[in-house]
Amino acid sequence: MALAISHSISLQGLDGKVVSVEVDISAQLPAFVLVGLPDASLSEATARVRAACGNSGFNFPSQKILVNLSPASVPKSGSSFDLAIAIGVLAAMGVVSATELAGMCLIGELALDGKVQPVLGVLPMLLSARNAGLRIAVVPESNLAEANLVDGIDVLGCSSLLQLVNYLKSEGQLVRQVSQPVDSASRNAAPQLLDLSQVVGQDEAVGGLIVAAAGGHHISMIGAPGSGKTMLAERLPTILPRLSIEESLEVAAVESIVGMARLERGLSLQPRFQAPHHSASVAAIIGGGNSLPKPGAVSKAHHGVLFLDEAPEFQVNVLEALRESLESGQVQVNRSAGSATFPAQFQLVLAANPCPCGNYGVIGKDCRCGVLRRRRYGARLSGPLRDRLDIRLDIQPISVSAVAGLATGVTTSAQALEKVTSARMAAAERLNAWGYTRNAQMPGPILKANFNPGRKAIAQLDRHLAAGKTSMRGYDRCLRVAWTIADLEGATSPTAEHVFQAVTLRGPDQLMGEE
Amino acid sequence: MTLFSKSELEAVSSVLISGSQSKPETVLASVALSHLCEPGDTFMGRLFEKMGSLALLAALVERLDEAGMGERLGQDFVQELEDAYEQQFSQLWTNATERWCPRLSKNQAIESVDQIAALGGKLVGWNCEEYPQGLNDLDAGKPPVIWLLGNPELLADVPRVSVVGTRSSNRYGTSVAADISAVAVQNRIVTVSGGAIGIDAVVHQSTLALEGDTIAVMAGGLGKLYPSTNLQLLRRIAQTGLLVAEQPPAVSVSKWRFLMRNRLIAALGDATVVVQAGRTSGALSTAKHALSIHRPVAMVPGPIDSAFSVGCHDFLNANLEHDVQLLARPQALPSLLGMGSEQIIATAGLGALEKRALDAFSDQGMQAWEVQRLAGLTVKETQIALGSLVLSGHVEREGTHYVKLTK
Repeated sequence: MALAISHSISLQGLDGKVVSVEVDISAQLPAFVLVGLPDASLSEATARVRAACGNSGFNFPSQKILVNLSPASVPKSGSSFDLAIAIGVLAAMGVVSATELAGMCLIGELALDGKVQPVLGVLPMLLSARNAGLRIAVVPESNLAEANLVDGIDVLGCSSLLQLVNYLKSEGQLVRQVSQPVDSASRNAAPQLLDLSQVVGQDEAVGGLIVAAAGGHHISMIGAPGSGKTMLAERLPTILPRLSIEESLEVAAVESIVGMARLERGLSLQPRFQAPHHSASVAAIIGGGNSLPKPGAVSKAHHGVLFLDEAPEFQVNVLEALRESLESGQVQVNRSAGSATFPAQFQLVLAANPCPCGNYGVIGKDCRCGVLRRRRYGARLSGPLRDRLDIRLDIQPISVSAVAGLATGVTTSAQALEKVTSARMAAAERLNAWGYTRNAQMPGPILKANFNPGRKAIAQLDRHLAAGKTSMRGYDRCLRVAWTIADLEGATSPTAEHVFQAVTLRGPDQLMGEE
Repeated sequence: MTLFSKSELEAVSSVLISGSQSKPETVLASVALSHLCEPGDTFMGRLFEKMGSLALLAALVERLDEAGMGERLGQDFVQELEDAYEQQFSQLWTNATERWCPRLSKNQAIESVDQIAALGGKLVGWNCEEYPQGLNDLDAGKPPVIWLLGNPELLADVPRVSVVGTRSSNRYGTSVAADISAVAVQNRIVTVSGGAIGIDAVVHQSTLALEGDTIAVMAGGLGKLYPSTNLQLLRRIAQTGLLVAEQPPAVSVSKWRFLMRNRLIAALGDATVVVQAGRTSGALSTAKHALSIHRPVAMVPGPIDSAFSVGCHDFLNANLEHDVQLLARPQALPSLLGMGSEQIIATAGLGALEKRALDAFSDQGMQAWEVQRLAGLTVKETQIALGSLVLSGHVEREGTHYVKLTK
């Protein structure tokens, strides 16, 4: 037989399309030609496939072998088509039966000796394969744990080309593995390396962090270098509710395409923490890639925490680019070879020094920055970005008494998580009718119309607004935070005290007194 | 001589401000007298101050002739009255009894007391301790009794400003009146106005909307609220603010009573602001009353070709030698009342937490944790106190620091 077809998956972002690998062998000058918009990494597949087949004992005929990746107009990339190309050629040569390949999806990279190597993006590929109606998926054995997370498709693992050929000739078996769907250690906030109780003498900041976790509020932290901003931010994921299975799958799919998935023990329900360096480019934060779109830090932090340390040091266009994802919970990445949409619902934590030198307002230290320099530093964070930050924490240098172990009120992550979880449940129940789950998501108009805490509680805030001392956005933020505080304390509606506390937690409109 | 029965006196006791030390019979006598005269009857006022309400009422009940009355008042006082009114005392007394005695009716006084009780209001006689200090400046023209509906504490020793203006205001006047009310509320100043349509209504409404305190002074009785278009507003004022009238509850308004009511508005405010006034606006009479009792008066300027403001401009020009000023911006209101920085920093109305936190402040900016440590509060208490102080304008947050305001 001179024509055979096998199937694989081409990923565009998280979205996979079934690709038919059509192989035709005809009597012409010997050649091995790959068409159908392959990129450089995919073009090299011909060399790998020829060597792998040869080393597995299948020498190519001295004829022209034409491989077409259909649909031919969609750009394709990566090494995951190797297996489908090799099997397609072998089917066209008659080594295996082409009819066996119907409804089967082949994913894997070939080593020159015929071994099957792991590839990126197996999870989203299999989700797409299942949705496209394919019944069987053959994946590299090392990717088996990841592939098994997808229900409704028969997943087989293979370690070499020969093993797969034998299976197709019904002369051997592939690996089936029943793996654990969820990493049970990630289900509960078991003692971890990071715990909130390790933060000493920062009761105010810890309290603010718990409020932020409970309402899903974006926060800013201002404090001198070494005051513990990073330490606090790193512990935010430990007090966030565990992810649901669906949320966890969304996160794992992103991690799968960038090679960050660690799924040997099953899905991790831990919210993720991403802390890109301030030298990061727009592509690194938002998403990019050479020709095909790749997710950035905002998507890797999906359902988790994105921590920008030294926020004013980031490029202004990076900070501005954050706004779209903060607004819509997703990012669209456009590259020459197509565009892709990645999820990006993260909780933003911005940290900044009080001034470029870091000593402004720190007792016993002298700030060397001029007023202008300090003003410019703070102004790098634009108004629209700051509008998104519901809570502002001033982090104080740790006190002597705290160092001496005299600090009281140590809250463990487990205790905080319990409070956060019950507060989130209260909020979700209340907001359910509007289609929201967290206070931070509430748009101002809906908030004011339906969740007015009553005249008594907000009279003072109203006066402040009427006097022009609070902006309407600032007012909304106070209201949102007040609701979260009320949820944390089990109150049915915010009281005046909750509103006052919210005013303090929200902080001034400007970040560093720069206006 | 006993003029009143025990049950009548008990009825009066029930409508006195709780805790009042006043004697029911003198108050009831004042009520009876208030039915006899029209507002601003200074002759009655002078007799009243000389004899007390009970003795004056007794004299009227006995129908004393001028000789008997003269004897009770004493030769010197009679002379004083003759000088003041440039009339013979016999003529003065005859005229007065002719005016008053036809109205003399004990039942009417008792009925009025019952009516104010039914409305849920209170009354204050001119010799009661609770009688507003401001009204004493009206001397003999002060009302024998004032009838109250709402929160009587607004008449205590708190800053008050009278804001009045034309009933046919335009947008400019409305917005200025609202701004002035906002500044008043911010500085905990009670607004006083006449409950009429136009500027008056805006003042009351804006004050209430910002949860401030407002007083409306009625020209008629509290049982006959006027104007009916403002009925809802007036009822709201009765709930959270205060309605004041010098007329007994069942008395209807009349033109004369409107003009005399204006003297009460002027006297209840520590200063009077006229927002907009046409050439003949009644608001100008309030300003005149205020000047006559030496209260500061401020005029809000308008375009010089505006009929809405011409009264303000003319009044300002005509009274340059008196205490009349231009209110150049709403924020100038506290200084018009002589309120300096001390008043703004006043801790009235602050809770215990806020006071403790405020005490911890020095002149320099402080961070939250410093306040917390110095005031000895918990983290949460500090956050609550600082939030409250920021909203009340006592401190301001500048970046990482809080600064005590001493403008």
